[in-house]
Amino acid sequence: MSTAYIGVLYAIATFVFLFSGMPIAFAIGAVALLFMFFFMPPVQLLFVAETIYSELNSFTLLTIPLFILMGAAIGKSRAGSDLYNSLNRWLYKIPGGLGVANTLACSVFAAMCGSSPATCAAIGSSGIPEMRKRGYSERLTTGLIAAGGTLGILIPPSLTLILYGLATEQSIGRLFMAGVGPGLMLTILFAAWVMLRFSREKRAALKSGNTEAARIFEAQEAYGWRDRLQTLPRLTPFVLLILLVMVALYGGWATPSEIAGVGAFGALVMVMIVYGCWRWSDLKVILSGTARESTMIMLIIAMSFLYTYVMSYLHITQAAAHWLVSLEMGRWEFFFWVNILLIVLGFFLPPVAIILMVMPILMPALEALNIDLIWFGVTMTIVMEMGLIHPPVGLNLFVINGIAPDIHLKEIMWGVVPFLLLMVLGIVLLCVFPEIAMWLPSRYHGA
Amino acid sequence: MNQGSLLSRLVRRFSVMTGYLAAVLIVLASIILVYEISVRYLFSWPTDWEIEFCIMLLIASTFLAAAHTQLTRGHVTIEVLDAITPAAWTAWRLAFSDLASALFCAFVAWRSWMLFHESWIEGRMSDTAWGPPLWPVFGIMGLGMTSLVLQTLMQFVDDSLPGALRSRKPAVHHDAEVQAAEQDAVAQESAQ
Repeated sequence: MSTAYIGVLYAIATFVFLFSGMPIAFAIGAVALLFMFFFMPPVQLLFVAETIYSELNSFTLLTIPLFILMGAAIGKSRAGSDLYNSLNRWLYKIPGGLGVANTLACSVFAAMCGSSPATCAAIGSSGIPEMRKRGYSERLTTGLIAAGGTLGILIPPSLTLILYGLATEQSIGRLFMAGVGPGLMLTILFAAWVMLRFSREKRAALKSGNTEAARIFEAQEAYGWRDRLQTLPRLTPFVLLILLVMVALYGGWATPSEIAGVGAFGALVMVMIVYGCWRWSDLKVILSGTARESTMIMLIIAMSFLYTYVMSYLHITQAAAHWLVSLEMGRWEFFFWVNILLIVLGFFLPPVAIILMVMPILMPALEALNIDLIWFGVTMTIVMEMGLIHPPVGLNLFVINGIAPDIHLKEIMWGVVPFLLLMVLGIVLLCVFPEIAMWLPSRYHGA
Repeated sequence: MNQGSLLSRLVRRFSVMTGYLAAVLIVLASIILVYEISVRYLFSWPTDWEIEFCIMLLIASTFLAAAHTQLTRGHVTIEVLDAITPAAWTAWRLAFSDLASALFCAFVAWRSWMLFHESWIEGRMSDTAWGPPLWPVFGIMGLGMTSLVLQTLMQFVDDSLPGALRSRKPAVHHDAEVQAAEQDAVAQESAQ
């Protein structure tokens, strides 16, 4: 049987198992097992557990559960709402300041936790009701928080970039550094849009003659220095922790795994001291959340490795990669079609599965076309971010729906459209000015 | 919620317990890494066992929490078809998926126990400077996968099979990351 034939069968089997309703991890594991049974020497089947173990036996993978613990600890504390309140008190004077405060809070929180839904939940649970109270439309409010949350997987520490680094054998430190510039760029784009949109909504409300709406928009908040400084003592330790993590990563003082360990331990201790989360009822939530999320991701990783191992053993990966190279597409043409493929996959699959299943096939073509793998990792992450806010998977949409159940899912979906376009604009900007991502890694001192 | 049989309650309790244990192992790994960095920087002591031990802890944690994650149906699935296919189809598809998942996990569990057995008999060690025995981590892999199989089978018996027989539309389950975020939102709201 030819490799192409087996490859097509493999793809069909994957499709069927994934859509069967089985968890993604077990579905791809089962496909791998079936093909081992039919097309590989029987002895390979006996080594399944050993293959899974040896793939998980990785120093880099250590970072994932640890960063999840760090995010879970901070996410369950009041740090999110403190962060948002504090930023609002500093920015309330500028037009759309509340929206800008939310955007910035998402971006800073993303640097604390590395998860998009967690960022959405932490900032959105206080940000959404507050913005609605101040006259922001439902679409703008929910779209902003859903999109702001996605910064969680771009701004370091980012689980998506760790997996990308693992799949492509790129330095995690350099990838993290490359995520900073585009993260800031998207933050600025989102903030600029929210200011523009808010001004328009305000003008429309004032013109409409609706006195109630006009009253809401014209109601001014006023905060003194005492208000502005009130939450700072609680936030300072966390900001220092992020700075320590960032500086340690940038300076290459320790490996990302070690830094993740310090970050997780530091976050847990700070949450216990600063927010008094030391009772079993508090810790229980942090612990069970960490265990479940970490296992969910680690099992997908383990089974993806098994899946790609079978693909590679049966020469499917090599044949598909060879076919891609033989298409002789131009650099940008290839980049365009790859992004379309990633967007389509994003309709169904979470970033972790997409990266691990697709990158082994794409990598040879990317290298042949001289596309920088670090730069590509960042643009790919932005495309994955889009998958988090567009239906049907759109994890962040569910989170927002949970926070604000009275807002119809359709409104939230319309709300994210401008932000999806801003992300596309962000990718275009990264193509025109790759330095946005590459400037920082070019000065990176770590391994 | 259907409490199920005594066996199902026992399995559930075991899944919850191993889930917390798994998280404690992650916390332990973070403490060991802080210790490792501290002694390396402050005293320039050589570090040989810490990183490898942490990796083992995290592999153990992954398998120990697998059943706990399954208990809340936190393993991420593709749910697109749930919304567009008739309730009876969806219910049967999900019953099948539970059974297929249990079968796959049972195979991995069996191979993990075999690996545990071999490394116990042969006294297999890791080929590093520290060189710890490998049977504990293989044993935990086997234990975790076995408890995952039991948990999935219990859910098949208590939940998805009766659902399929009555053509009942299954409840929507969000994956572990969204579940965690939802808990974050609750924590934030109650703090305000």
